Amino acid sequence: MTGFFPDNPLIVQSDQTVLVEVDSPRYEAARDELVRFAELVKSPEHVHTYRITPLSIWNACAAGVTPAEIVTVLHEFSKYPVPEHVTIQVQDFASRYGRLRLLREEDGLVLEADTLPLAEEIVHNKLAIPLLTNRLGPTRFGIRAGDRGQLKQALVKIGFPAEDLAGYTEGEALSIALRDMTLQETPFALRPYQSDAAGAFHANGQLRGGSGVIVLPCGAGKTIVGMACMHLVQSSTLILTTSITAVRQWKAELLDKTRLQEDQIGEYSGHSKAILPVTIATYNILTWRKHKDEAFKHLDLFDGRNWGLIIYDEVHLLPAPVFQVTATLQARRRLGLTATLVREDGREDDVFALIGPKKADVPWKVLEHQGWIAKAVCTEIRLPMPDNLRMHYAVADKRAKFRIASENPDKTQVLQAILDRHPGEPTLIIGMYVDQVKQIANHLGIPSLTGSTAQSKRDRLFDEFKTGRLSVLAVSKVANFAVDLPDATVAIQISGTFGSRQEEAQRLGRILRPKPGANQAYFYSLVSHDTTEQDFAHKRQLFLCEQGYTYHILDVDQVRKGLP
Amino acid sequence: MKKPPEPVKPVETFQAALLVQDMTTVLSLCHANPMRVRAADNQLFSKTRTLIEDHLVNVPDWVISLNIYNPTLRLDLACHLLDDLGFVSTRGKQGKDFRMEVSKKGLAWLVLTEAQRVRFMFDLLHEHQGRWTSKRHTRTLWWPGVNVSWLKKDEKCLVKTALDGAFQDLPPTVFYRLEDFLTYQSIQANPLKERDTGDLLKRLFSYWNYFRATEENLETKWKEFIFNYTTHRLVVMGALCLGRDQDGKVCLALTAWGQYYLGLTDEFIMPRQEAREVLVQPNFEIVFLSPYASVEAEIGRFAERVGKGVGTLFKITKASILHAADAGLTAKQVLSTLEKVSTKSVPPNISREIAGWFDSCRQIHIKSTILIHCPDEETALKIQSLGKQDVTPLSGHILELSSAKAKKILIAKLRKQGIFVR
Repeated sequence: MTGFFPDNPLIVQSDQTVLVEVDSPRYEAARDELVRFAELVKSPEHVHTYRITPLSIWNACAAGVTPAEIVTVLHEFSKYPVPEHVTIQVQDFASRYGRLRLLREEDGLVLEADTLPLAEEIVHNKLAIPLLTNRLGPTRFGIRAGDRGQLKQALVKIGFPAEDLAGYTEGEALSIALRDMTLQETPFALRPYQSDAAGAFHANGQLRGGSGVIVLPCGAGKTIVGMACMHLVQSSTLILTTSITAVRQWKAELLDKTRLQEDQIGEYSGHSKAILPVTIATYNILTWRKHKDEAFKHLDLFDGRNWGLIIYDEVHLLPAPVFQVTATLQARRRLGLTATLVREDGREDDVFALIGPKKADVPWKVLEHQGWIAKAVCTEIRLPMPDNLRMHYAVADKRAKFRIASENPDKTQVLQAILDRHPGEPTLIIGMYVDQVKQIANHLGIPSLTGSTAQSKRDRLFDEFKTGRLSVLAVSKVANFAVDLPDATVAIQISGTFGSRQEEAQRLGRILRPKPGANQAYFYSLVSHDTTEQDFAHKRQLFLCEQGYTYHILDVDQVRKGLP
Repeated sequence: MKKPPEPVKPVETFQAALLVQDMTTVLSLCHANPMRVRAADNQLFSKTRTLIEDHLVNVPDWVISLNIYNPTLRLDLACHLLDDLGFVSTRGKQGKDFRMEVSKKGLAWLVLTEAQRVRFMFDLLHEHQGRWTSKRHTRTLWWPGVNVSWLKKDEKCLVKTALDGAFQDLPPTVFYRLEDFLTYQSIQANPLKERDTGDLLKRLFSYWNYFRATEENLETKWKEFIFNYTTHRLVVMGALCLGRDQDGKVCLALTAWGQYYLGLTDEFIMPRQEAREVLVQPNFEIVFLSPYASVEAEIGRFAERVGKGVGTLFKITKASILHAADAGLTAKQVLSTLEKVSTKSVPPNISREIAGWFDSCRQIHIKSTILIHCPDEETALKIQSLGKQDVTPLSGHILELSSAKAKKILIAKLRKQGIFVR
């Protein structure tokens, strides 16, 4: 076929998506290049899909990739001729980056355009006008320090992202060193990809570094990368995360792997309001207020110290008010940590403008091959509704149907069969309904952990689970986010939040830390056959398959005969 | 050109029973969602046309450049033929909302395998060997690209035999340049030149008065006839395979189906396809790494089209499988099609889900019936004893009467018993 190169792995489509054939002999080389300028959309078994967007191209430009390199890569690895308009689009997107620059001069911040027409376009744009104070020259404008973030947001929306070279305040100096040996007496060193990611963020302290997002899959050690960045910056740090449990785990990790002392790390949450050189807070406390008309008083924390670095854990969950404050904090170094740049609310451009461009993105398959994260097998087990509930189910409304199916009492028996298949292996039983979680925990004689469990009891249970004194723990939705249970090998999902993909990712993330031996993790979902629960499970199945996991569907009879 | 054309090696080829595939696509879409047609002329609305044209099997640009396979023409041909064969019918509700619906006959054809569907059409052509136009339409399959409306029956056969004869000596699967083939045939085997064809020519060319039967003109005409026959019948039925050689010239070769069509063999076998790459992914997407037009319509019967050409072209969904089940396809047929076309084995979760979706289908029967509402159980029992086997109790107070015919007799009996129908 004319212009057909079957050994090449890419198919570049007119809608700017790029398909990558995994079995191609040139797959790895192509993927390593592609990941620099395109976002991974899905990665099922044989063909992965990437998308080229303005943001992905700007991220690439920020990392020093040129449009010529991008076009060369597309041509070099493509099976078919690359649609001409795609190369034109790439060049167009790339040509917009860096034409505006934010600089710091003696008199303050300056926005500089590379040409007069562009300067005129900006000065006539209604989003930008209120943020420009005075015209310093034909292509130069003065701006207020407090408007730096807002201006960057506006410029991204206009389609001409500014390269921010205005630098950072140094923040309060703080000595942060990483340990060679953890407090628990195990050797500790950064993995190569962690060290590379931290290096890409810091950029040897140059102006082009110091703000951006690091994308790593669940279980790859994002916390450690955060600590490595703190070590490079050597300054007081504010860490924002998703829950109180995550706060505790950040603290435990910092104490375990750095030379910071207990009195240097503060917790800012509903329980405690200590502002110390390293302070860890939750997004919830920052956005808490008594009445919806009141101001967010805890946002003052951002000015509580002269922070040299702000870390946004799980940046894809960053709430809107924190975005607003972050817009005023552009003089501080900012690090976003996440497993995905895709936000449910579509505010990826705000992450780019306010936190910074993507600095590192390591595909999970690479980490799995290198043994840094566990291989996971996903199995859905379908069991029929018991006879006595069928009529009850048939006449219930849609929402009630889902709950009746999710709470199918026969799941307990199947659970037991799975536990028998994995004796002694650290296992999490995860459910959506507290009653169901408690009931199953009682039946199996295991402890349960729900939203109402006291923090002291949670900490004790986590500790017992980590140390292996406890091998099976039933948890409700509280375990969805940032619960760092290093030794969980098996997760059994007895009910979920309808078809939530994010929840599925978080739950699977609980078991992806590397395991001794075969480095194998197991993720089971129990689903009532021929019910609405099965329809929702199908959505989660699609998600897991698109992440590249092997997915099996078994009947309860197959489980009774023995799991494969 | 006096010498027969030389064989050539194509660098790319295209073979598909395009017409059968287009008919399949239109039927599948119509079955999933009966298409609205204009009440005035029974034609599809332009919005609907655009939607269907987007779903038609993709044809490479170099084939389209022959200027015969544009989607509009293909859709017209497919729709006319479906109508001709009684595979679709148009129904409206009280004089409005007219829709093209798939008939039972159409459904029965749709669930056949690709080979069976193509063979059905070939056998139909054999059956109508001498027939060139249908009662209702002259533009469809019966029209081979030659206007024969004024010919006598034996003259039609003569032309048809001559056209078939042009391809009889082609060795199967050997490619020749189309232009060379046409030129050779028009010079060396031109029936218009060889016979005493005065009357035939008069009827063949309705503009005879303006036509000068010079050797050059007759050669040009015969060349045109063979080209039309090639493109409008043989290629669209998969009897010829088109190719393009390294100089970009279009070439053709006779296929196994072509041999069957020309009566050179009684055996109907599926033609050998070049190795193509189609992948069924665990996330229910079907990705074409290279063009594979001949399977697109097959897959379109049970999957939703999401793209054209190469890339992700189809997605299997519960709704698409339920439509397929409703049309009469079975899980076995769907899975065997997927196994046949997929370069890698079909992921187990896909097989499991498809089988499960088919299993979840149930058939029910809806019928009109006559219900008798009784004031009390005693009356109901009385009526039951009077109506005997024509009356079935549904509950204590409600009875079902088997037919309208029994109603009259029962009413008369009831009246005698003092039970009146109000």
